[in-house]
Amino acid sequence: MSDVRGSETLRKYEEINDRIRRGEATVLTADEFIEAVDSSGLQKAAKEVDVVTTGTFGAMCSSGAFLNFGHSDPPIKMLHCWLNDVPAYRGLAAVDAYIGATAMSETKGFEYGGGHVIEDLVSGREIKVRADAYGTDCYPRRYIETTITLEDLNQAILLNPRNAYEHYNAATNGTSRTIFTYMGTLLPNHGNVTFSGSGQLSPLYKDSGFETIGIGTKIFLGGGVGYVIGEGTQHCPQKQFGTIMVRGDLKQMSAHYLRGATFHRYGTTLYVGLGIPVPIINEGVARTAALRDSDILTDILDYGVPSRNRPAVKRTSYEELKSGKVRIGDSEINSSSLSSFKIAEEVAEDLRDRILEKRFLLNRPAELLPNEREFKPLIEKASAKIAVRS
Amino acid sequence: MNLRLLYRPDHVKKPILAEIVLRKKVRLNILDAKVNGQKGELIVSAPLDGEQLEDLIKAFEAEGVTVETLPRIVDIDRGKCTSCGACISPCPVSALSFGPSDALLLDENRCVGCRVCVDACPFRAIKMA
Repeated sequence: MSDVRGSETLRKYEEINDRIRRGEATVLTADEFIEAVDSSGLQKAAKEVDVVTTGTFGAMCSSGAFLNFGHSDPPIKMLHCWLNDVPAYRGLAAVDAYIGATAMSETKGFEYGGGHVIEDLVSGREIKVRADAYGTDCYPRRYIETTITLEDLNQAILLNPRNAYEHYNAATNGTSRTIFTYMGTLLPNHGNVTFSGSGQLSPLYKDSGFETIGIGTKIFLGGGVGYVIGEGTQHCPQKQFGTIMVRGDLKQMSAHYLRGATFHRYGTTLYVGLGIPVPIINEGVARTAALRDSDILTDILDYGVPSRNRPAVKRTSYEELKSGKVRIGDSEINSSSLSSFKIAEEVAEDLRDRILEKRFLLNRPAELLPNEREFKPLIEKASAKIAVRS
Repeated sequence: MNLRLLYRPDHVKKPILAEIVLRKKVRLNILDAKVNGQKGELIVSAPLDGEQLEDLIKAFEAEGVTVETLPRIVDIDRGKCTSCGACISPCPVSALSFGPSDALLLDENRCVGCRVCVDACPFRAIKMA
């Protein structure tokens, strides 16, 4: 990291945008930037490259969308609301709702959830809306059942409280039975290893010092344009577990980059395609943008231990994880990803091309994100237990 | 080659499979079996081809068992698959891998039809054929 976080010693945002507008900007994906550093060295690459694009496409459970249905006649103040039988959050104004990715269908269970509703909306499919109410003088209606499409909605805003984990723990299973987790299917006796995150393409790892990514940073979100609106929940950048909160207009997005998904016996989620352009404003940013899979380390945790503090079986790199084989003790164990590198690369390439084609400019964040944040556990207090008992 | 064997109600109680295995001395591997008092459906892997495979099929048919050849054990819906890899490492026989352009490949000779990949796929892109 540079002396003053976010210092624009190599180039300023305005200069980058001028170069983009003139068609003179050098924009590379993170994979391409690593190759450039290999061939000409970090200093030269940092001088030559204006922007490095990143991408990830993985399960992001803390995702969802705010929807505004408009008012029916007579109007209703929805008490409960279901979209294709998936309950939406209704603690808001009369016809606003939040459909969360992990909410599950009350009729189809694990097979269909909020993530699938979002994918269906973006695909232009009809969604069945059902809502009840207690009825008031101003909102007399007590029940409504109809269908909507994305186009019918006044607003459909993807607003994800936690996306794009900088990196994530890998998973294995030391028990004698197969377990089904949010890290996928884990075979018994360390039978396999799964992992998530795009490694050297990871948006937040490429600006690990959080020198350029902040509130207001314009990003690629679900195929459309989005913005970082703050740190994500559980943001813990000092341990390379940084996260971001993002929002974007669902009406601009594509189902190729927003996919409902189910983890067997765990629940539903949403796969989100997200990419961030990292402006090479100083050499510190260039250094993190040049980090490669072999530099990005993570722990393989035993998900067979039902504890918040799962023991680490091994510390490894994304290079080893991506190779498909991980050595644990004397055994070589198959490893595979849960997030798609293929689509992560597409995101980084799509974002690069948008910038080169002058369709996407960069902006200086209104405020940088904290580069240190404690991630606290939930402590069960003795006094609260007593209160519950009485 | 994988075969689907469909048993009629009057065949369910007969040890047809065992008799054919003993008679033909063939090492059939049962991949899936659904048998009740009314009907039976077995998916078996037979390490045979050509005339030997024909001979085996005729032996089952002679016992009144309907035989269908299954060129594939599982179907991959390419439109749904995102090439994530969630199915690859859970496969207990390493039958799944990425091919060129990260397209998911299934090695039919390794696959034992255990369904682990069907459940492991977050996008429900894999189904038993």
